[in-house]
Amino acid sequence: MNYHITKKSAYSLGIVKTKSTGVVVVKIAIDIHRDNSLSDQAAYLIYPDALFAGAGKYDRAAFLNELGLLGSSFDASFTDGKLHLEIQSSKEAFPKLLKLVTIALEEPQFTASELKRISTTITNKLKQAQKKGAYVAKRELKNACYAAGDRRHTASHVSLIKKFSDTDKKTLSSLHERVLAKPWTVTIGGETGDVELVEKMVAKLKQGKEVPDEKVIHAQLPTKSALKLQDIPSLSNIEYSLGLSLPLYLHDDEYTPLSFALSVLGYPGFGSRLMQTIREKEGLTYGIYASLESTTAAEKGYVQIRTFFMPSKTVFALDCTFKQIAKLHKSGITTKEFDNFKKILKDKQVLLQDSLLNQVAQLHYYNYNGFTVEEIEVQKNKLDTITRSEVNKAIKKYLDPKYFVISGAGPVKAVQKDIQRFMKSVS
Amino acid sequence: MSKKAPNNKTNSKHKITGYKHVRNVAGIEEYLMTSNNLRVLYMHRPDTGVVTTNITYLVGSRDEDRGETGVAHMLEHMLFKPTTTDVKNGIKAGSAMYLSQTTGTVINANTWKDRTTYYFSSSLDNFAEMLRLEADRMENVILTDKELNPERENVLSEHDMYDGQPGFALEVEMRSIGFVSHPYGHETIGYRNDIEDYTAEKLEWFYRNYYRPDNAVLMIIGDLSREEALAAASKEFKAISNPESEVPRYEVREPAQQGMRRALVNRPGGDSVVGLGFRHAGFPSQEWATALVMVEVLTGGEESILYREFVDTGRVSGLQAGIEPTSEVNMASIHLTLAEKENCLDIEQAVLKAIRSLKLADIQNLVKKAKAQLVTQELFSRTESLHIVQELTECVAAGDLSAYVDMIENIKSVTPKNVLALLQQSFSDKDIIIGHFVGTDK
Repeated sequence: MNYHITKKSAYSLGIVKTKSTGVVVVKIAIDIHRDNSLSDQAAYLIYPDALFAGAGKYDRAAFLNELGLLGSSFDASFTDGKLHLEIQSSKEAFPKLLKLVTIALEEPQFTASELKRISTTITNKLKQAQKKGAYVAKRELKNACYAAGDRRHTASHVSLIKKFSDTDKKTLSSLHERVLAKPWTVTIGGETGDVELVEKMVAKLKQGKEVPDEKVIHAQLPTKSALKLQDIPSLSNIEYSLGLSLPLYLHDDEYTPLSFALSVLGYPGFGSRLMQTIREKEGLTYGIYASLESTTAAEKGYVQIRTFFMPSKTVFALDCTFKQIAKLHKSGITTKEFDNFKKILKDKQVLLQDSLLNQVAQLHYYNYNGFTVEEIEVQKNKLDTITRSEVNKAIKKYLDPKYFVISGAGPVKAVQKDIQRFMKSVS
Repeated sequence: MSKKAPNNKTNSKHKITGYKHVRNVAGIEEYLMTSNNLRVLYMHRPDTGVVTTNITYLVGSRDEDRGETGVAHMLEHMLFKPTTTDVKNGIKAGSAMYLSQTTGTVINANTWKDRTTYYFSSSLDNFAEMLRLEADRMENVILTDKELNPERENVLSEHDMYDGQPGFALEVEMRSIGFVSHPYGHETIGYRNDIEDYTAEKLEWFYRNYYRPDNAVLMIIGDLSREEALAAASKEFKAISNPESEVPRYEVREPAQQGMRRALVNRPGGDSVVGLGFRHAGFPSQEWATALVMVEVLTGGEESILYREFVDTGRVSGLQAGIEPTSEVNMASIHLTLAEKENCLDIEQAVLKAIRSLKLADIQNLVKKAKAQLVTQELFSRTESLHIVQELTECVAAGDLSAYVDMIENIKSVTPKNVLALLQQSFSDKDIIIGHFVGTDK
C-alpha cells in the first residue's frame, strides 16, 4: 500500500495513492463528543440529514438533484459522538462533487420546515429500530459498560424523540460550528490531483476556526456482570451481545495480546473457537463472533460477542458459549492456535492490497487514532514480536466469564427465568 | 449507443495446453478445459499479492422440486465438511475448514435461484491448496445423515434468522403466489418443514447430477500469470469426468397472470409492511436494465418517488426494494414498512395511485440520475477482485459473460419512455402481486 499521513494543526490527511482506478473515495471523521447530553444525542440524530436539506442557493430538492446528476454519493452519519462523512465518486465527477460538499459545509440552511420533516422521519426510524434485536442487545451492552456522560451510552428512544422538538436551527448551527472547529481526520484514496482538491477544500473550510476548549467526559463503568433482557415477540431468534467493559487504551501493551486472544475466540470466518464449537460442532447458531470494540488512543473500549440462538436452545447455547470463554480464561490459547492466528492475521494484511475501499478504511482508522506512518508499521509488526505468554496473561486478566454482561433481545418471555438461573450460575 | 463487441481473437499467448480459448471480455479471458468442458475465466490483477478463485455451479433453487426446497443451499453447506480425501488424510475438520483455521483466506459460498458459488481470496501462497480442495469437493463430499444432521440445525438457525424479519416472511408468501408453476416461487433457503425433512439421499442426487465440470465455471483473478493460473487449474481439474447423463433441467413456462394476486401474513408484534411485486425480464437483457432503473427511480434514495411521497411525509418508516439478476422472468418487489397508526390497505392504495399517476416529466430527471448512480456503483464494484467475481457469477449464471460489459451500456441506454412504459405495465391491476404483513397485538 502506497500511503502517507500529513498532520496539520486543524486536520490530519491520510492518502492512499491510486493509479487509473477511475474512482475516488474520501472519509472524514470529526469527534464532537463532550458530555453526551440528551440534547447533543438528539442533535446527532437530526444533523446528518439536515446537512443535505438545503445549502447556499439550493433548497433540498435542488441540492439532491445536483448531487444525483453526478452519480456520486455523499453520506453523513453519527456514531458515538463522532461525525462520519463519506464521499464516493467517479474521478470525472469528483471536482464538481467537492464544490457541492463545500457548499453543504459552508452554508447549510437548517430551515424549520426541513427540521420538522427530519424529526418525523427519524422518529419513525427510531421506533422501527426498537424491534431489531441485534441493535437493542448491543445498545444495552454498551449502556451496561458506560455511564450516561460517556459517548457510548444511549438515552431511551422515548426521551430522544421528545427532545427533537427542541432541536432547532440554533441548536444545529451551534453543532455545525463545532463540526467545523474541531480537528478533522481526512483520508482519501485517489490520484495526486484528487488529493490536492481535497486538501484545498479542507484548508478553506477550516480557515480561521478555533478549536473550542470543552470538557470531555469518558465514563466507563467498572467491569461487572449483569443481565439485560428485552422482549421482542415478533422475532424468531434471541439476539445476544455478550461482553464486558475493558480498562485498556489502544497504545497499552496488553491491547494487541488481548485483541489477538479475541481473534482466537471469535474472529470472523470459520476458524475461531466459537465458530468451531457453537456453530460447527453443536449447530446452535449461524454465526458467533467476538471483537474488541471502541478502544481508541484516548478511550477505553469493550468486548462484544455477538450471536443469536433459538429460544428453545438458548440456555444450552449460552452454557456452551460461556464454557468456551471459561476454557479460554483457564487454559489460554495453544501453541498451534498462536501460530495459526499469526498467519491468519498476516494474511489479512496482504488481502488489503486487493481492495481500495478497505485500504482507505484501515488508513483512516490509524489516522483517526493519531498514528504516523512509522507507528502504523510498528503496530503491524507487533504481530511478529507478540508472544503466547503475553496473550495468555491478557486473557487471564481481562476475560473472566464471571464478569460478563448478557444482553439479549428477542422472544425472551418464555425463557426469561431459565436465563436468569443460568446467569446466577456463571456470575 | 454502440456496444463494444467482445474480442474473440485468439493469438499465441492464448494457446495453452489442455485448453481451448473461447473469447476475451473486458480483460477477462475465457477458456474451455478440453478434457471435461470446464469453463475457466482468468483475469490478471497485478501488484496485489492476492488471488481470488470462484467456482460457480449452474444449479440453484430453481432446480428444486416440491418438498425439497432449500436442498441446493443445504448442499452448499455440506461442501465445507470433510471429504473422503480429508478422512484418508486425517484432516478431521475438512480441508476448507482447515484452510480457514490456519490461514487468513476469505472462504465462503452462497446459493441463489440459478447458481451455487464457492469462493476463496488469499495471498498467493495458498493458491494451490485453494484449487486442490475445490477440485476435491467437486467429487468427494461425504453425504450421510450423520454429517447432514448437525448442519441441518445450522441451516434451520439461518432460516429463522431471515424468517424473523417481517419483510422476508412477506416475500416468501408473495413469491409463493407470484409463481404457480415456475420454481422461482420459493426462496433459496427453502421452507422450514422441507429443511427438517430431506435426507442425505436427496442431497446425494443433487450432488451427483449437478456438481460436474461441464456444469461449472471456474474463475481465477489475481496477481499471477495466465500460464500459472491455467496450469494449476488443469493439474487439479482435468482428470475429473462428467457423468454420462445430461444435467437435469426443469423447463417450466409460467402461466400468464390474469389479475391481481394478494398475500396476507399476520404475526404478533412486528412492523406492518406492504409489498408490491412485479415481474421483470431475465438478466442481462435491456429490459432487465430498464427494470433496474425503474426500481431506482421509485425507491433509490431521498429523491425517489416513494421516498418523497411516503417516508418524507412520515407515513412510512422504511423503504426497501430488490431486483435479482436471474436468467428467466422473475418477481421483483418493493416493501414499505408502515409508521404507527397507518394501515396496509391505505398505504397500498396511496402507493398505487402515486405510481400510476406518474407522467414522463415526473421521471425524466430521476432516470438520468438513477443511470448516473448505477454506473458509478459499477465502477466501484470493479475495484476489488471479490466484487469482480461476484459480478461475473451473475453473468455466467445468466449464461452470458458479455453481460459484464453490456450491463453498463444497457443501463446507459435506458430512456424515460422505456421506464414509464414499464411502470404502467408492472403496476397495472392485471400484473401486480400485493402483500400485506400485519403486525398484530397478540
